[in-house]
Amino acid sequence: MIETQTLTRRFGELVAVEDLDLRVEPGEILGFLGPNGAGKSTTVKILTCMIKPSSGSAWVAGFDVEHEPMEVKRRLGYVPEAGALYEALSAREYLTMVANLRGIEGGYADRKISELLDLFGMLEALDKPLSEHSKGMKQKVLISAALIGNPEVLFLDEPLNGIDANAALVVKELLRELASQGRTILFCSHILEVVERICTRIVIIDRGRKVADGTAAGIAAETGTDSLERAFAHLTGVRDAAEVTRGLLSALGGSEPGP
Amino acid sequence: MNPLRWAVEALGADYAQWRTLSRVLLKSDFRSSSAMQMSGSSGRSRASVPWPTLLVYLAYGTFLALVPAAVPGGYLSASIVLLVVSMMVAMAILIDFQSVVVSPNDYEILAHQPVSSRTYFLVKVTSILLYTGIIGALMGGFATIAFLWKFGPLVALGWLAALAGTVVWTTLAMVFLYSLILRMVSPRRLRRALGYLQLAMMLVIFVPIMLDDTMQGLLTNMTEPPSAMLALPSTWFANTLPLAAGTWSVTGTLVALLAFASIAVMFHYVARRLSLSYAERLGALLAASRPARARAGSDGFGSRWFSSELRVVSTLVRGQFRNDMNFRLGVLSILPITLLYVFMSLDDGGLPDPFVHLGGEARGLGLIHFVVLAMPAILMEHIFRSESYRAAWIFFSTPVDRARLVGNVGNSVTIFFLLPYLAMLAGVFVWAFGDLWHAVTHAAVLGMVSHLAIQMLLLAVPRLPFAQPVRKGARIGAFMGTVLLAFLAIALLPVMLLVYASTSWTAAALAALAGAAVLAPRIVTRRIRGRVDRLEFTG
Repeated sequence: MIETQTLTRRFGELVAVEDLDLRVEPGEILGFLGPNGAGKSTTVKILTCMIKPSSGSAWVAGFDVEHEPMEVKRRLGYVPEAGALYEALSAREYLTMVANLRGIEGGYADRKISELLDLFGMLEALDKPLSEHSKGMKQKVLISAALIGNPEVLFLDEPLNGIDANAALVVKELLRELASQGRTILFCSHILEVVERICTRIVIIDRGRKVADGTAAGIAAETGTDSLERAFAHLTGVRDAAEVTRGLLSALGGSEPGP
Repeated sequence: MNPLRWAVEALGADYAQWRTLSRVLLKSDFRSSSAMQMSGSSGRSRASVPWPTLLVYLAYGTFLALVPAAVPGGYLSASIVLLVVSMMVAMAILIDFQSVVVSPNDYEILAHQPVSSRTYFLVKVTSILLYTGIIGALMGGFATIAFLWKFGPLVALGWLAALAGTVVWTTLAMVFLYSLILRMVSPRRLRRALGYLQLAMMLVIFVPIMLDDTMQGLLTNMTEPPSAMLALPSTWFANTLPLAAGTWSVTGTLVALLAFASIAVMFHYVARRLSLSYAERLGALLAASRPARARAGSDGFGSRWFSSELRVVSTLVRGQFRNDMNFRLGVLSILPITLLYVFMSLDDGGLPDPFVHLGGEARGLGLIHFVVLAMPAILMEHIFRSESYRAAWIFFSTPVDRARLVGNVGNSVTIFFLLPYLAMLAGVFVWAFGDLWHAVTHAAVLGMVSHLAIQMLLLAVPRLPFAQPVRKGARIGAFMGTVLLAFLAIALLPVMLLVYASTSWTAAALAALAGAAVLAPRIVTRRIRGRVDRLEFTG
């Protein structure tokens, strides 16, 4: 379970997350949406104990993120938005490291690593340095790393970034299956179709504040729109797309391509 | 029970995690990766040893081995060698390894893993101790043979204990300082605070050299360290040599014992107290570095005067200095040395006018010559390496002339670093020589020689700006290598300055240097074009 109460995070004068109340039950896949800079990644960083909240409280799997971070970290899996990895290591070495840090050692760890990478069709690249992997392959390694400890709670920040359609299909199916087994999943993405398809509930935040909470259809109905995409634009105050496009073309200096 | 496991667990860390992370960080450090490689080359090696850096340390080690052979007393010679080793270890940490303690980069990868702050901190300390241990072994290894040959096996053992003690003490003292500042200063002010610390530490490290005329008199007139050196930790550890030789005194023995005891106290404090809030502070640092504040005004300075490539390099250098803490600290570690050397030259009997004191008589200018020749090259090493080396894709996907870009790295160093420094130096020369023409001419000659040296460096190793990953030890290796080469140049420069003997020779030399200074960047750009064009982005 994930729960926050009046969670707030300030960076100097900037309020990245403000009075956020959130509750995600076991078995739920929560789509956590918002425009760039809305505070999604900051919220996830607080929930994964990477940074501390300025005020308010948060619990993951029943443990306080501020006061019991080690208990929280033992129970979570996290796919970060900007996939930071030790790129000089191979996928096998990186995943072995993550497994060992989670107390999974020896043959059992090796088997799990092989199984996970086999699912993603990456067995052949197992011993290549991560620096030689494509963005999508690195993402698969990060997803495998998040799953290796068999976590109770999963935080996925743009997990499908760069991965191919087949792997994306596997990940989506896997998330549904994990949720049905009682795991709690928080899923951040800008791809609204994916969120709509796999998430059981959606929360939209804008400028650090929660502006919507419900199912895709419910949010659309509440905003008097006919789709999640339009509801999102309505709630996050996006300018008229056609007007923005005209402005961009004008900034390019005309309709003809340059030399 | 495995004693290592016992030690790690006694410090409150998880042994299995400590072992795993220490191995991973070492593997990461020793494997090379680069944002670019030559097309057609056979890919990257899985592991690479930084041989040039190791060879530079070995060269220093060979030189230091002469000290016990030449200096009469074991205690005195050990004090001198240990002082140099401790200075080098401290400099290595300042220039290359400070990021190991204060950078949140690793933390970003590991923050959500169940690793305690103590374990994480101990991994970092282990990593630095390993590197400084290698530096100490390379620099003091040959001296061990000299001590063995001159004083016997017991003294050699005493020397090894003193060497280990000095290296560990210096490393822990630096880690202690960085951790303390990380703990005490708010993350928002940390960047500035670290800058001040870097400047202050560089001054502290060079204070021993400035102590009076101490260093000059050591090799000839003394058999024991002078009183000024007794305050230095390296001299405390050197007391183990008389102890091993059987010529001990109560004071010396107590000092040696206290020195080793201070390691235990420092390690206990660092590992037990400072490590507790370490991860939390890194997290705060990570968060504080998130929102970049927009800076008002345009960066398009000098657009009329400078080529677009020069503006690109200059904008990059200024941006990196403002926002990349490691680059900023690296550059800040160089500047105090340059000012110190000017001060030391002035303190050392004033600056001789090379027009009056021809050739070898102008030795007093040696340190100034060293700064002008070596520092731009060291600065360039910082410009080539960056944590954000993958951003170099922009040089490969835009229609930029890469050879001109590389050439303009040298020009930007000349214009934005060397010229202001020479202007300051010309002022000092005017004051010291009392002759405006002599001062300006000498500053101009030095500037043009340095500019040519920069171009030679680019010709030898053409590299794109901020396009190589930071490798631990690479910068201090380049620093020390440059110091060696600069010493050679300093030896040759007085001979060259014989042109000051007649006005016509001086005028001819100035004209030749000016011509070479103007032509060199063009020639270098043309000569490196083939090599630079064959570079491919692989980041």
